[in-house]
Amino acid sequence: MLNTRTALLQALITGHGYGLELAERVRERSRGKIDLGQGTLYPALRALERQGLVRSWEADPTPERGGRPRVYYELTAKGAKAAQDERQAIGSLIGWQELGA
Amino acid sequence: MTSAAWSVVAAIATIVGTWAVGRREARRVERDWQMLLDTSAIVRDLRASSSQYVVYLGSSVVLDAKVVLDELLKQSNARRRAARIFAWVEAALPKRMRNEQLGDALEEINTAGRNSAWIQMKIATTLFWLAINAIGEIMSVPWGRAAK
Repeated sequence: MLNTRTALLQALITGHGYGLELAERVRERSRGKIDLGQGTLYPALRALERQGLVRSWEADPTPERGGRPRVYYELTAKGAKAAQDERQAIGSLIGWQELGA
Repeated sequence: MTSAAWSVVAAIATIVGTWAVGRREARRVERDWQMLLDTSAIVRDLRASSSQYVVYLGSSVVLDAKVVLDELLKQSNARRRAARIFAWVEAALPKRMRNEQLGDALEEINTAGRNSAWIQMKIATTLFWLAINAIGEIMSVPWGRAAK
């Protein structure tokens, strides 16, 4: 259940971010358990955008990126709802497991 | 020659010898420092004036600094190589991948504290995943799933 899509949606609940930042946010919040590499992160972000769950925009170019802009992402209304639904589902699942039912 | 004369000769020899050894050591350290400053100038893209920096700190300090500067020089070269390689491959990539994946990789590479081996590895993995992700993008076109 907890896949890259879920991890990114949960990371975006706290606010917008760009690829590197989102990967770091996921790593921190999962205490290093989930490490999104380049092979999963960028295709997943583009897939979320195609599904209308996130929208993206480009910031100003920066020298440390060789004059390339950062591509920021944020949740759409549809994405925010999906993220909340998944959060509730995970919470229920954990509660169910902890009760040992 | 009397013992007094021998004592004078020994004293003169000691003074001259000490001065010569000290002078030789000072020159060696000056050379080490100049080499170190030249390396530093390359790293920082500066041109250092030699006479301003001739300071005696002891050979162990100079050797340690050399190790650090060697690594800094390697990092600097690796960063330049990354920028060159990425500039070369970006022509074949969609705009989104150029700005996002290449930009993020370069930003990570330019973060302080990355050693040269890590940078080399990052260049290689970035090129690999760029190829894989580019193929994924191309494959998604016929099904109308291409990214903008």
